[in-house]
Amino acid sequence: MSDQPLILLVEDNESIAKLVEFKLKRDGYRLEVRTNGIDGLSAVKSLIPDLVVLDVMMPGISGFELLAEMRKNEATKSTKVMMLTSKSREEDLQRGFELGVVEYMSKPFKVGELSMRIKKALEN
Amino acid sequence: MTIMLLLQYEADTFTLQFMLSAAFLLFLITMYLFAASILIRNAKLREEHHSKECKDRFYPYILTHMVGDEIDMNELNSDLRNSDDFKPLVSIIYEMIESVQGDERTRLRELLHLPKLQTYYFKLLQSSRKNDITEACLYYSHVSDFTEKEYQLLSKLLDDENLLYVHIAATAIIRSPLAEQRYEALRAMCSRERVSKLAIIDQLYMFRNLVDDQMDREVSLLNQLVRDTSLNDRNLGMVIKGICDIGYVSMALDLYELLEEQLWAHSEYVTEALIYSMGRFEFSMAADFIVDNFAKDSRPRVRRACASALELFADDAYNEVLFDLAQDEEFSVRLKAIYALAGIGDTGKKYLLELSAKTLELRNLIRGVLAEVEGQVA
Repeated sequence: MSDQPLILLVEDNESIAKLVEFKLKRDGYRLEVRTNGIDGLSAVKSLIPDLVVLDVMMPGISGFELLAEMRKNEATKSTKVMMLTSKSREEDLQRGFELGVVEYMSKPFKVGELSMRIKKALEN
Repeated sequence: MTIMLLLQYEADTFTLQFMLSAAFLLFLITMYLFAASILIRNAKLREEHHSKECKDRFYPYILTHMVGDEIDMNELNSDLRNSDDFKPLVSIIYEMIESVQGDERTRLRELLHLPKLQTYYFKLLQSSRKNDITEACLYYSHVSDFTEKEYQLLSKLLDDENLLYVHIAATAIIRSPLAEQRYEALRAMCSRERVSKLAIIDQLYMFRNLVDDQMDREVSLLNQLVRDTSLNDRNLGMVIKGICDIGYVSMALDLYELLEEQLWAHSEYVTEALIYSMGRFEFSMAADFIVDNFAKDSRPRVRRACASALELFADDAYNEVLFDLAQDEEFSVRLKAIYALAGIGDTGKKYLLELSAKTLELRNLIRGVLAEVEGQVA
């Protein structure tokens, strides 16, 4: 089990976090969930996950701020990041790609597709 | 002297008694408030605890069902013990439903059709209490399709005097898969005064069904709507602008005919929106009619719409009209006309040069607009 990639999900919506957690665990990934940016940032530094799935809009530290902080840190600057964004904020994507986001999904999304994109992001 | 002392003593005693009584009363009130706050806090904590406990119980059902695995619906239905259990379940569903799509959203909706939920919310819909009706409408706005009885009750609210009821009922009905039902909701909103622009636009976007292609039926109903002179003209103005934004392109000719018929000539809001729609649809066939009938209209809103449409047509045949509009008495009309001339290119610039020589204000305006337009081009 520990050979499986470790994914860190940072998402403040409890139901969405539960749904993604449920699906990814079924798909055999190891998953850690944090529900705000501050906890997310400390988890990134301590866990060094293979992929961070990051919600853009969060109270406290936003997804972009967390990402910028990650890129400043030597240990986490090359960690793969996938962003979850709402349809109306797709203009934020360019900012995400400039900060090295490897994949993104806009809400509403299909959980099955999210899982496939995660697989693809981990393979690349 | 003795009598005076006695009277003084009695007065002091009375004051003391009064003060003691007042202090005691204050003490009682403080204790009452203290006890009430503890009770309320405990009730809230109990409710939170119950909600969490329910959510933990329901998540496995919901998640399993969402990813396509079979669950025992009867078991879940019987697991809903009372109305306190319903709220946590539907709150999870409401929270998730906007974030997922396709089959997953459909499966979430299936859970809202659990018999106990249906019975409970149908009962709430029949209540006279504001909170119950609001809660029921929220439920039906997520359910999306209703039985005939449910629709009857919801549509009755559309005629209510209270705008809040009209709005919440319309928000529920506008999710219906039937275009006619959605039309009734939109029409009810358009018939009322003091409805926010945002609410109208929101309803119109919901009116557009994205699941099945009902475009032809929707266009036919929208044509009916924009011709209904019993409706509020400000709201209809918003609807017409929204029609352009959503992209009901096939309505361009209908809207042009409506403009030609002058059915709404008395309303500056609808006239403005119709002229604007011609520009947005780049329906240049309407240009001559707009120029002949509205470029010198007495209402600034209409003249501004005229300049705005000519900007979108970007045809130098109307430079003379824009030249006149650029000297309009209303600032916003002048500004719009200058933008239009700047967007037309070299022929437009010749007119701007001539205008620059007229007044200092025009010169400054033109300089600013050209800097902006040419900056965008660069």
